[in-house]
Amino acid sequence: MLSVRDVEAGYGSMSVLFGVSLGIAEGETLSLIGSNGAGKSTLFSVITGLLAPASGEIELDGASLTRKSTSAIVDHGIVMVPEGRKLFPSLTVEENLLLGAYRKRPGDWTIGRVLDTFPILKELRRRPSQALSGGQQQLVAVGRALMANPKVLLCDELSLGLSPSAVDMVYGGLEKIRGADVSIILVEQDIARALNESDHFACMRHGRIVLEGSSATANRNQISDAYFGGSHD
Amino acid sequence: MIELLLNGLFVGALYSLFGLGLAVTFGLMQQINLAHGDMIVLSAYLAWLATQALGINPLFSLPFVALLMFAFGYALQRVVLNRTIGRGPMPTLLVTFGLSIVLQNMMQIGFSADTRSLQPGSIGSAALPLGSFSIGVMPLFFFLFACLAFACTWLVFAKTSFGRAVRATSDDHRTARLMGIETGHIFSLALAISLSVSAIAAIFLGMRSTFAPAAGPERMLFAFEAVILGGLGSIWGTFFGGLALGLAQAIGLAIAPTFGPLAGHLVFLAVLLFRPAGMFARRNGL
Repeated sequence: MLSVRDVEAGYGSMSVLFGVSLGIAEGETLSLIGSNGAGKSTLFSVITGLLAPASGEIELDGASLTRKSTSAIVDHGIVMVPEGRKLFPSLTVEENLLLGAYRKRPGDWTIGRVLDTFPILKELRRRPSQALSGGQQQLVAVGRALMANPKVLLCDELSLGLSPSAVDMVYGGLEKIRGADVSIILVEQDIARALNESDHFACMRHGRIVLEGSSATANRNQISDAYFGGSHD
Repeated sequence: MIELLLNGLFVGALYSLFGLGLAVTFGLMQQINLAHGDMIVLSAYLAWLATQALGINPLFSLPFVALLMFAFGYALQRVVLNRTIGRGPMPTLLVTFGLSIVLQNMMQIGFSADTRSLQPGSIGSAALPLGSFSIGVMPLFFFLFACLAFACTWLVFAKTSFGRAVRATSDDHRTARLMGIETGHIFSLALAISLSVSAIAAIFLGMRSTFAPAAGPERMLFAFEAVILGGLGSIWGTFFGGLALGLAQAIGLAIAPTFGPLAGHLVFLAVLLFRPAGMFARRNGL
C-alpha cells in the first residue's frame, strides 16, 4: 500500500535521513520507534510533503507521491496527527473536526461517526478546543485526521505530555480504528506500548532503519541494542 | 438629541466599514496591513476614474472597483506578503509601511495633491422627514449597506469551510497545511476579500466627504480604533466599535465643535484601559 524507498532528506546542508525504506499494507499498524533525533518526525515530514526528499521514492497504491504538495498527499489519503495535538485554538472542537474534512475526500468518516467512535467528545463539541484536557484534545486530533477519510494515518507521539489514564483513553480510541480500512504508522516513545499496539515495528537510529520485524515476536534485547546502538550480552 | 445620535450612528457605520477590511487582516489573519488606509483611498480614486470615464453614479462603480481591489489584494498577498508568514509581525509591518509610502506617492503623481470627492447625485440631497427632523437617505443607505456587508463578511468567515481555513492558517500555518489547506491561496483570497469590502468604505467616503493622496493614515487610524474597540477577532465587534466611535464624536461635537474627534479618541483610550481586549473580544467564534 504505502511504500517508502531509499529516502534521503535533511534541512539545508544537514542530512537527517539516509536511505530509509519501509512499507505498510492495508489495515496494518506499524510502530516506528527510536530515540529523539533518530529521524522519525523528519520521515513523517517527507511522507506528508512538508519536506522534499533529496532522493528516494514514496508511493501509495502504486501512485508516486514524491515531491507532491501536502494538499495533494491528503487527497491521496495520507493524513497526520501531529506531535503535541496542534488543535487550532480559535476554533471550537466541532470546527476543528470539520476542518479535517477540508479536502472533502470521499469515505465513511463523518462527524457523526467520529463522535460515535469517541463519545466523550459529543458533549464537548461546542467548547473551545483549548478548554479540553490533554487526552480529550488528542482524541479531537485523531478525530480531525479521520474526518479526512485517510488510507494511512500517521500518528506522531500520541502519548506525549499525557497522564497514564489519558494515554489509556487515547489508545483505547485508537483500538477502535485499527483494522477499519485504515493503515496506521505510529511514532511512540513508549516501546512496550508501541509493540503492543502494532502488527510490525521498525526501529530508527541516526536516520536509518536498523531493525524491523513482527511486534508479536519482537526480541526486547535486539530492540534495545538497535535503539541505543549498543551490543547486548 | 435623536438626530444627533442618528448622525453619530451614520458616521460610525462608515468607520465600521473602514475597519471591516482591517478586522479580516488584523483580527483574523493576524497580519497588520499598515497600507489599509491608503488602499481605501486608492479605491476611492478608482471609483472617481470610473465615474469620470463612464459618467455613472459612484455607487454603480462598486462592482468594478471591488473586482480590481480583489485582484490587487490576491496578487499582493500571493507575490509579496505570503513570504512574510511565520516570520513574526515585523516583516509584514515593514513591507506594508513601505507599500503605504509607495501608494501615497503614486497617487500624488497620478492625481495631484488636490482633494476630490464623488458626486452622489440626487441621493445626496434626498431626505426622509421624521416628525420634527429629517434624516438623509444617503447616510441611511450607507448604514443599511454596512449592516449587510458585515453580515456577509461574518457569514463567510464564521460559517464556511473557507472561513475556518483562514482562522486555522492564522493559528498554525504548518498544521493547516497538514489538513490539506493551500495556505498561500487561502490567505490571498482573504486579503482579496478584505480589500473588496474596503472598496465599499472608499466609495461611501468619497460620496460623503473628500479624499486626497495623503488621507490614508487618518482612515487607517479610524479603522484601527474600530477594530481594537470591538475586540480583535470579532467581526461584529468591529461594527459596534465603529458605531461607538461615531457616537462619541457626535456627542463630542455637540459639547464643543472642536471636541468631536478627540472625544472618539478618548473613548478608545478608556476602553483600552478598562477592557484591553476590546468590547467583544472572543477566543472562539466570531
